[in-house]
Amino acid sequence: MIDLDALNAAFHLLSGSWQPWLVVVPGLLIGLFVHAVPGLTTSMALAICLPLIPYMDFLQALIFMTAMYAGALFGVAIPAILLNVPGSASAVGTTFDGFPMAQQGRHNEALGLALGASCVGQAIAYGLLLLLAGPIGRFAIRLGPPEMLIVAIWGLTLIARLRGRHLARGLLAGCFGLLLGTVGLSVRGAARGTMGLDLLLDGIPTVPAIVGLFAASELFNLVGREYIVADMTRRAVDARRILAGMRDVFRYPATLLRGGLLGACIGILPGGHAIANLLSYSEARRAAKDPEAFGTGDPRGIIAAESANASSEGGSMATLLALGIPTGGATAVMLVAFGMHDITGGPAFMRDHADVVYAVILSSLVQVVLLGLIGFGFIFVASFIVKVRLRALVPVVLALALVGSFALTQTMAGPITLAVFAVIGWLMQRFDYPVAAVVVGLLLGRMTEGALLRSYQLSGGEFGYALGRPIALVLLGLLVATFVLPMIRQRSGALTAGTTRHGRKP
Amino acid sequence: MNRRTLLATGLAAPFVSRVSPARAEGWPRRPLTILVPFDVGGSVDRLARGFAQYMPKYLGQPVTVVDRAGAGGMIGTNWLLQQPADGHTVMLTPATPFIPVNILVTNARYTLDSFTFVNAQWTDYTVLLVPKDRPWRTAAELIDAIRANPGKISTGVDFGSVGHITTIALLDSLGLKPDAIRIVTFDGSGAMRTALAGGQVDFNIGQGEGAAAVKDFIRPLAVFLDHRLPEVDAPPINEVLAAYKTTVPLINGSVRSFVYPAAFKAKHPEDYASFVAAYRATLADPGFQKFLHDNQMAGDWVGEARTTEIIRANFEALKRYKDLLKS
Repeated sequence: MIDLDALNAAFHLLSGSWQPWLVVVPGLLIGLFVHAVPGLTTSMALAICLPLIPYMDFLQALIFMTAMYAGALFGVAIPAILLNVPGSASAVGTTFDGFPMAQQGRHNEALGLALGASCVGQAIAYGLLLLLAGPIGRFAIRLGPPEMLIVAIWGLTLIARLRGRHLARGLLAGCFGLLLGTVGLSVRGAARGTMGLDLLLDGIPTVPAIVGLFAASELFNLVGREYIVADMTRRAVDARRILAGMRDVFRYPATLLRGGLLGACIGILPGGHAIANLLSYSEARRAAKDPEAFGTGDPRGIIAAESANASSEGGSMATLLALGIPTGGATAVMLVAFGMHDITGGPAFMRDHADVVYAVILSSLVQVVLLGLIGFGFIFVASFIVKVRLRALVPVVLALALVGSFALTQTMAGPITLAVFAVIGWLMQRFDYPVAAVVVGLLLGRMTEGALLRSYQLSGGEFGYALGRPIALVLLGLLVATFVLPMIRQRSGALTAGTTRHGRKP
Repeated sequence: MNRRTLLATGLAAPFVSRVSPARAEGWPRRPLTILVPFDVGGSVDRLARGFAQYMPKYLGQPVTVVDRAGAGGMIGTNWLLQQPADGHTVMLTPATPFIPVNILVTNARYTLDSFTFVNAQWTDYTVLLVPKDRPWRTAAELIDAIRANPGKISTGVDFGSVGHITTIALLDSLGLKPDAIRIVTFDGSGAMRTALAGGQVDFNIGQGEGAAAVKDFIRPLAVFLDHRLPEVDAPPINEVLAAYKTTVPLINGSVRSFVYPAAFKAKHPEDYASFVAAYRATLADPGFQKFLHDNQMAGDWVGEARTTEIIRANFEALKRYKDLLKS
């Protein structure tokens, strides 16, 4: 699969000059900083830096952009863990166990875990790319609406797992989220639930809504407390414990590997990178012997979410590099950089510029190591947040979140959404409804509906259509198996237990 | 994923340069704001940033770019109409299809008469495409296949786009109802093109520029123009349709133009003329022409009258078929 001549040429490109490397550290830092403000996104940062691109050579530009990407991928985890404020949809899964860990005074370990998992996840993704960029790309465009639908439904099953104490309330919250997800112009041009407001035609802005829901439900709860970490003795910033967290990642190799591979697969779907973290979290929880530990500050939760999030971007890079087709906002901006250098993406790019493709992949593998170093310094500084009194921290975070939400929407729609969802989040928390289930519904509602509609349109309503789509059938089989097998195991487990008991009876 | 704008001032800062001393009187009295009603990084946004760099020399004032995306350009367009009609905010947008679609499909509160369309500077064309692995070599073969297999052949559309309306118009001209094919509605043209490249749908009528990104996966069968294009190996659609004794209205793809609220020209005709003069001088600027060339953009001058005519013709064609869109 590897074109060795091109790989050799790539080594020469990278080692022949120090110039391509010049942009790596600034790229990583910009990426990390951008996510210090919840609401700023990678694609925004990339777009802002576009005017710089014509002044770099093509390889340098690509390396700069992937470095920014790499930094931002991990950057979102920091506010997610320390403040329970996910800066984008891709950090939602990280909050589930990250924030509980931070509250218990294990913030050093949690951040270390996230950084470690992010680096390994990216390494897995770029390793796969190095071996299989072409085939992955060609496979990706074989995935159509029916396959998307099955992945989306798979994501929705997470709602049942995030139910909290009451199953009915969890499902109700999930349905509420799904309904919210359908607000706006449908893909068939019908305006729904917009209450006549033009601002809602594009749907509810998800990031302000998520920040509102999470920030309110957790941060308001902390109002009576002095600090995020209640126990004073644990309120320390400790480099050794961050390092220990990074090391701990390797204590759960199965979770790490599963997250990395799953993320890479889901990342090749359009819009997939936003939900990879949730699917991976869900799978890790399902596979665990003690699923109840998830959500209470379990390291595996962070590892699953972060490794998948990190590797999902590798998946979308595959379709960009191999086919010139972007599957997400950030890769779309990168394609613009191609245009600026008069280079057309697509299979011809992979064929004619294989050395550049390999050079980008190789440099990304080096970036992973640098991200580990720079990210370590970055979280060391960021951790001092735990030493800030909550009465100062909460208003600052909420103010920053409001500003960020305005930047996202460029209208008052962002801040208003945030405020409305803050109230909803607080009410839900107060009456013991799981906020996370609403978020999953909101994130997946639109995707599920679109995929369902398109599957129906494409098949003309004929069920036989699915038979002609082997990938969809395999995915469907996997989906059913993940549900039925645990049930069978449970049943047979109960039976054996029953027989033994009988056997013991004299 | 959202690529909304961020801190327009920060974005524009690198471009606020090379400003000659502002004229003491006359227009513009303040910096000019170019409003882009779409996301950062899109084609119109990039064009606007080119103007921000080259126009200040001829305007005597700095130029900043503001992106206000949403609702198919409607959020930004509404905002434009709320600004004072003194000409210091101008919109740069694909005036068709978006303004007619806002009016006809999403019930916008404005009409075509609300605007002055300065100049159709950069126009995209519409093209009929099939994935390479499909058997049809000509548009006639595809049409015959649709007729022979009613309700079996699928197409991908971006709802309400020119491609969508042209698809309906083509079927209508052949005496076919929309249910003669399977119309699959995608979230945006990017997702639709990916599906086309992957062979998820059987054909697509869409925009030529966008199709360039996936050109290795597709085969053009016809262009919706009255002439051939040197870069596209396909005949004009109405030549194909001659065999079927029918024609289809040719609706332009993106017609990118500066757009002012009509009130500006009505109230301050001299100020409007000042803008047009600075704009034309920018179009003639060698640096700007190089910028356009490097970015594969066009810098045509057709004038306000012809631009308005194009947009009205498109509007009428869209109006004729809009009721068929939702069926």
